[in-house]
Amino acid sequence: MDDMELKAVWKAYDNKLNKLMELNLQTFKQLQVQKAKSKVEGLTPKIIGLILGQVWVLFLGSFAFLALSKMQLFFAVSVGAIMLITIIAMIAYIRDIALIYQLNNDEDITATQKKLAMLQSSAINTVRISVLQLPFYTTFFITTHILSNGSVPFLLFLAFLIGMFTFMAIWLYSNINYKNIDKKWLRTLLKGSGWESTVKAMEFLNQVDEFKKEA
Amino acid sequence: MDPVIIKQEFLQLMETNRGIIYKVANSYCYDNEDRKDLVQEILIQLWGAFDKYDKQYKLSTWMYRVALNVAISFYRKETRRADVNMPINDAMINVAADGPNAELEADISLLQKFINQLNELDRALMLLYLEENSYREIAEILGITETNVASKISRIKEKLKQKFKTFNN
Repeated sequence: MDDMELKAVWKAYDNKLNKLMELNLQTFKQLQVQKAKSKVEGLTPKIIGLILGQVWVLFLGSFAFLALSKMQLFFAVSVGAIMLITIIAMIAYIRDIALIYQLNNDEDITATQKKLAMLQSSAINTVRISVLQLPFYTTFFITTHILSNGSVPFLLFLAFLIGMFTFMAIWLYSNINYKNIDKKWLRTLLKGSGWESTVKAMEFLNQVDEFKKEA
Repeated sequence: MDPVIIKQEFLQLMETNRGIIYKVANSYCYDNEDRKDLVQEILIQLWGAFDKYDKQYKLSTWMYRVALNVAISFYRKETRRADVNMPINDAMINVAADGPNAELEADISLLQKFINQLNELDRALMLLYLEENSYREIAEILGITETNVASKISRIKEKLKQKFKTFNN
């Protein structure tokens, strides 16, 4: 089948479709109202997530403040750092929500679809930023008493633990992204319910990149 | 301008260019009921973007951008995937398998089937090509270079020809 034949078949399909389908412009007004409603409904889980995030930040803040007033410096700094990273993750989340309203369907296909898939996989950004909290979970129990009285092997083990968690956090932060979605470790990390749509969005991002790539 | 006139103008344009909406919807959605929803969704998004439409550009370019973006997003929605991933059933393939245009009908079904097997973006590319848009227009709609359009079309066309050949033998 050559080029002309292919286009002739398509033309015949076009004629057939025109006969079969009818554009229903009558229900147009009514549907506009329904769609406006469904956009707001889609935002509800994200707003609930943000409220829960704020409660968590307030909880951490009170702990940090309490620890600071009792001069428990390591605890205060660790909890304070976890709080700060949570706030950064929340800001990234708010930015993503704001992007929903900036999406334009009249932009080119690859640009719009990439933005959309980025939004759909935005949960991964929250995880990515949150992993930076990891080292601080190994420091909150340290006190000046432990540092001055702890045995050398214990202190070496502690330093190793902090170092390992720091390395792990930085490595995960640098490597959790859609370009690595085909890697086994990331697949395993995102295995389980709740991540399917994120994984699909990440796979689609790769598909868009591949499509844009010059042959 | 009077909003009533704007709406009338919009509806008139949609009626004249309805083929674009049908073909895009039909290429990304097989279920009849879902397809009606998709057509309505495309219309709503077109109406929503109509005030930003710059008349110095071709209406079809603008319509394809909106319609394809809506259709691809619709296709990718997880709740719809189960329906979309269903293999094309015999009833869809063998539309009017007898009669004077039996061969043409079979070719239409085959072409539709092959196009539906392409991924979302390649499908958009092929749809625009078969609709006889220029490489420049296709590049503008998709956001890729003209060279890229040309090489991708040639590759997909070759695959389609092979599939027709295999099927007809």
